[in-house]
Amino acid sequence: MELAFVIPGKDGGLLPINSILMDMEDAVDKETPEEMTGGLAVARRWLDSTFDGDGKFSAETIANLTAWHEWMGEALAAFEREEGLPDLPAGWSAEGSPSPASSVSAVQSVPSSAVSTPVAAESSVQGEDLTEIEEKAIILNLKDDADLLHEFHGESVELLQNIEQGVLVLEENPTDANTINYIFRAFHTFKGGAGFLHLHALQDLAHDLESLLDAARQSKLQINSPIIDIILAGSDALKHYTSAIGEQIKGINAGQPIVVPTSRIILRAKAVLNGEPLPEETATPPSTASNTPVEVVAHQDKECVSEPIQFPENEETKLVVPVTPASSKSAAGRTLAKQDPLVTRPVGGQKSVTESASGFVKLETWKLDALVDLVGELVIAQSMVVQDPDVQNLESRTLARSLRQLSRTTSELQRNAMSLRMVPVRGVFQKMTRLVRDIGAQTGKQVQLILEGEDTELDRNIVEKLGDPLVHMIRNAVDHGIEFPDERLAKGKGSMGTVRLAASHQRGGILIRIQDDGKGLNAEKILAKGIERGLVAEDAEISESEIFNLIFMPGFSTAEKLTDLSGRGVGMDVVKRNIESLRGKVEIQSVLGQGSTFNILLPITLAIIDGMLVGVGNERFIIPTISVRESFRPKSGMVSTIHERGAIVSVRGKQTPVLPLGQYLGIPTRAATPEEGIMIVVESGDASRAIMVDELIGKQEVVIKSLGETFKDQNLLAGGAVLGDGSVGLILDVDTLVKL
Amino acid sequence: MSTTTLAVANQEGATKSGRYLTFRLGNESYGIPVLNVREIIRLCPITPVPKMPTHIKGVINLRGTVIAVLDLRAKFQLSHAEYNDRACIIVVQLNSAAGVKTLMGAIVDAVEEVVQLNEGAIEPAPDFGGSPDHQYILGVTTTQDGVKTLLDIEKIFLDDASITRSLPDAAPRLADSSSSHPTQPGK
Repeated sequence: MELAFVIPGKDGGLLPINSILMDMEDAVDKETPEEMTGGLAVARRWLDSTFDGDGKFSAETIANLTAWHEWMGEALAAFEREEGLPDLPAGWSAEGSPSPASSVSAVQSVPSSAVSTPVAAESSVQGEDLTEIEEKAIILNLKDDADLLHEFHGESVELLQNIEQGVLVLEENPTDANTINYIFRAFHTFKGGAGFLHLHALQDLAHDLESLLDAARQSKLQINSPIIDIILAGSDALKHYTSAIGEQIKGINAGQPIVVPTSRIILRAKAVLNGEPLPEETATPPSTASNTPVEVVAHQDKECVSEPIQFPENEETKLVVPVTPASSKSAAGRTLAKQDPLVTRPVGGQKSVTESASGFVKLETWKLDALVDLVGELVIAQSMVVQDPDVQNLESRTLARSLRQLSRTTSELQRNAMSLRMVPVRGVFQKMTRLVRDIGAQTGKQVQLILEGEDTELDRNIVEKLGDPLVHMIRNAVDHGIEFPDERLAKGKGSMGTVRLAASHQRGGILIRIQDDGKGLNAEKILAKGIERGLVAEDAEISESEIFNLIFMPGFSTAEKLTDLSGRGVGMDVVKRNIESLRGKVEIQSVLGQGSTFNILLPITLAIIDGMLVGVGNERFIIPTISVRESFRPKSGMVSTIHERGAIVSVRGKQTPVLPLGQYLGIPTRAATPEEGIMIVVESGDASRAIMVDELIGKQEVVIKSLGETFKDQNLLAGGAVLGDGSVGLILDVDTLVKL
Repeated sequence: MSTTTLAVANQEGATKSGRYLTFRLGNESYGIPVLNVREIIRLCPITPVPKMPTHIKGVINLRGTVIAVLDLRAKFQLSHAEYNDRACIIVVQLNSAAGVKTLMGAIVDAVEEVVQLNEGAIEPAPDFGGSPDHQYILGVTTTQDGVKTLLDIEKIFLDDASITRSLPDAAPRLADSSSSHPTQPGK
């Protein structure tokens, strides 16, 4: 850890240790064994006494801390193995009674772990473990669609209100193209949501209303008052559904089918669309039979909805959508015979629409982004105050304590603000279930999709952009990976193929893994294709993983013929580019005949990265920690040159080219020879470089800022970040550096 | 953060009369339309950006937003001089054709005043014989302090708003748009 930074008699290194300790304290929660909490409290006490003293380390404290570091290492390892923890060395806890400060801080840190947080790299070993335990517990308790349904309900209420307002505008001004568009889109969104949740009745109705507006949009239809009536009737019907769904979510009439008459509205909408005269209101018999009861069956258990509201597709008795009067009779008869339908009356629905705002606050993204930005500023301002030389020279205990309190509050605030942007990957993942089922049906393959870790949270910007690459990769896995049932049986596998989509915390980021047990990637075939496409030289000697990476090259497609599903020109290169634009990485593992695994490693958030601050001459740069493999000071003999120019350093038996950063950037360096500098080994894809810098200043989390238009066409820098002293540090783009 | 919506200044054919902020570069005096000026800040430490043309001094932290800073002396190829304590950074807002608003800073030797100029007070730019600088000169005006050159700041900066520099074998990549300045939807 960071103890190497500490020099006896100086205060350097105190802050880093303190921040690490704070991170660890924050990671503590209920599952953390007592010994661990005790150990942290001990270290906290030492540090606090150092703070309260002269702010300098005594030799004794350092010795203690070193011993503590070793003990913590063992404790963490033991914790990982789920064994009992080593006892605290006797001398530690006995050493004086805990000062008030230490007990306070230990207590304070406990509840803070309620927020799911990115944990700094140093404490990530511990942090990851805890999160995983938490997640598994959640998966067991939570059932399928409760969240989605809740969300859909909230969204629908809003959409319907918008539609109603829009219609009122249309009444005044029937040709207002903007409003028509707006209502059209609202119905469209509604349809999408309903379709996703298999609420077919809602979907159909929304679809017809949408087509009606689409015709109006294309000026094929003139909006007049009958049409407005239809739209209003339609949105009323949708409102009844929605409010009934809302009630069932709350547990009222749970499990009861919801019936709202819609067929008349649909018929009228169709008639208008086809240019036929409107069926008279009175012409439709008022009985339920021709009103086509359509039922939505919701199962509910206790507090959470255990199953999606859906039409049981095989139970005809419940799903009755007769279109012609002739068939409606018998169908309706069956319904009546079996029914216990809850026919939602218009009056009943009205109330809950207005009061059902559901526990969400919807706000515009820019407000959220602005908040997160401001909090980022606050954190910087706070560290500017703490690190200000004038403040540091003040020997005031109360000030030191207040500043510590400030630090803790701001970092807590920052985590909270960041967590506002965090959403679980559940939504994206669940869309894949449908996809796999559809592709399976289309191709005649038997596939099951297993989802894991759907509660893993990611920045919503990442989640939004993750959908397309995932769709593509899952499609590939089913279409190209999984074999046909007979083929699988011949190979001794079960006829049912499995695609596993899992999310988990890994290396301070999120790992999304797509794993299939299909036929795996055929390296020979890929290589042949690569050569044929001119992507590799014929005599090139490349490793298997390099061969696999060929599939990410533009213009590469292994599918022999273009199928409907994959291979429509949008290839894996787009997938890779999308993921890289999220600052993520993709890795492939594959065993021929046994399946392939695609690992997507993503940062938890786009706004913050863990960076290594390095110094070159008088300049400072930030290297994203996610790309750093290791850093070290080379000993003489480790670096050798080729042609007296290009230098290479041997890292664990592997020769890595050296990139002297100062020399490359034209900055005068302090380190004259490689032995005086620090090598930072970075990797991107299969390429790696040892970046030579003058010094390693530290690690810190930085808020990434765009450098703006001026620098948008350069690729040396990935962005900028405001450092502790308020100046801008530049973040190096490792993908570019490794290619130099 | 107030994103004041400034009218797009200096559209083709639009009148040149209006208020101008004047500033000094060496012994010369220049003016830019006040509509483009967001604020004036003191010279602060600038982080140099490597591998950039000399007139791009680097980037600064403007209350959390990273903006590029240009040295107008270097841009106009004037003689080099050290900045004194009157030097400051004029933060201008540029409205690109795509509707993207960009903030950039310009280092000047000293800021003078804001003057109201009528169409009649502005003479067309003298012809220097097809000098490229000519394009971004709106005109000149004469005051009791001497001649002031009026600049179309957007034309000057927009060359620099996207600098094409590519390194071998790497696709251009930029920092994510999410952390860039949020644009407020107009109501």
